[in-house]
Amino acid sequence: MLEMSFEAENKLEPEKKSELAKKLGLQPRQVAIWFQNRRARYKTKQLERDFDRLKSSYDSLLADHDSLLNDNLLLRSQVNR
Amino acid sequence: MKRERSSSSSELMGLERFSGWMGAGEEGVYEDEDGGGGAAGAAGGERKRRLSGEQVRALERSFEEENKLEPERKVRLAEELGLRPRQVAVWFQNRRARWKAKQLERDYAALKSDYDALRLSLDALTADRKALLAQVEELRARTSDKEEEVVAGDECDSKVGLSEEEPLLPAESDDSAAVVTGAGDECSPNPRGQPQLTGPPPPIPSLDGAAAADGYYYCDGPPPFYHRHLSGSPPPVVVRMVEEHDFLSSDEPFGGGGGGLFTDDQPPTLSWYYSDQWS
Repeated sequence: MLEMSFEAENKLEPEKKSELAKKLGLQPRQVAIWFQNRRARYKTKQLERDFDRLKSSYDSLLADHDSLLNDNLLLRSQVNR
Repeated sequence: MKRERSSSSSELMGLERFSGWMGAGEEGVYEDEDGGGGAAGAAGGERKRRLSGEQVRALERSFEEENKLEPERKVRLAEELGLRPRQVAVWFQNRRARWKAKQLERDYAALKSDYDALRLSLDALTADRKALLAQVEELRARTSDKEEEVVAGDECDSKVGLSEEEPLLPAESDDSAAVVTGAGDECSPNPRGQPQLTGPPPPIPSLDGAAAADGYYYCDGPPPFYHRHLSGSPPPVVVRMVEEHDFLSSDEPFGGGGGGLFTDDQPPTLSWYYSDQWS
């Protein structure tokens, strides 16, 4: 239930907090802490995903770069003949 | 009891990261902010005490030496610092998580810098390519003009025409000498050195002499901070903890994810990351 609420909105309004606390039989403080932690976990995951994406873009950029480099060398040798 | 433990351990993990990670003090915070365990966690106040600065420093020193904890070290540290072994274990666990996150941040920054440099380099290459293609095109056009003259005119005339037609040929170049001499020696429509129309490109010496102004890296690519930085293996966090593989096609490396920060040409930014206020 907390996860679902988090999916909807990862910041917690005071009213939402009390509502969840009541429904789950927890202290509001506990709910707040859960959200805090959940946001921290989410940020780590997000960073990892960003990193992987950047890495894969970098690899593809590198491939393009190197192939263009070769093409240009070829062209240059043509021009020089 | 079980719920209590899991909530308290998640509190520990979360709050550890919360307080330590982004550069603020690296204290082993065990409790929530108001200091009260109460119903939020432990049964007794004893179990929720904040670590002292000295304890934290000792743990940090130990962590510097070796970030994994063997049982004997754990017990020893616990005794030395007046903590329970479990506390030491948890502290190390959290500390490793913080360290990995920091490492990932560093790796990301390095990779981003490499990426940007590579992008610049690619742009320069693209410009060069354009210029080179233009050169090739121009040279081809010039060759076909020459050939038409050769075919159309008298052999001897055409030879004269040839040497007049190529004032740009540097006299010292072997190729141009060959062309001129070839034309002079043989009274044939296709003097030596002058290729067929469909043959290889004409042996025209380099017009610009040197390479174009290269704003790019030749053999090894830009010095990649990220790759230099690594000692060979990818950050452990990435290898072990990647749960979602959301790789998109290379056309759109950063499509849609993460709060709409990404356009086609921009690498992902961490603005959400840096600017977000920790509540």
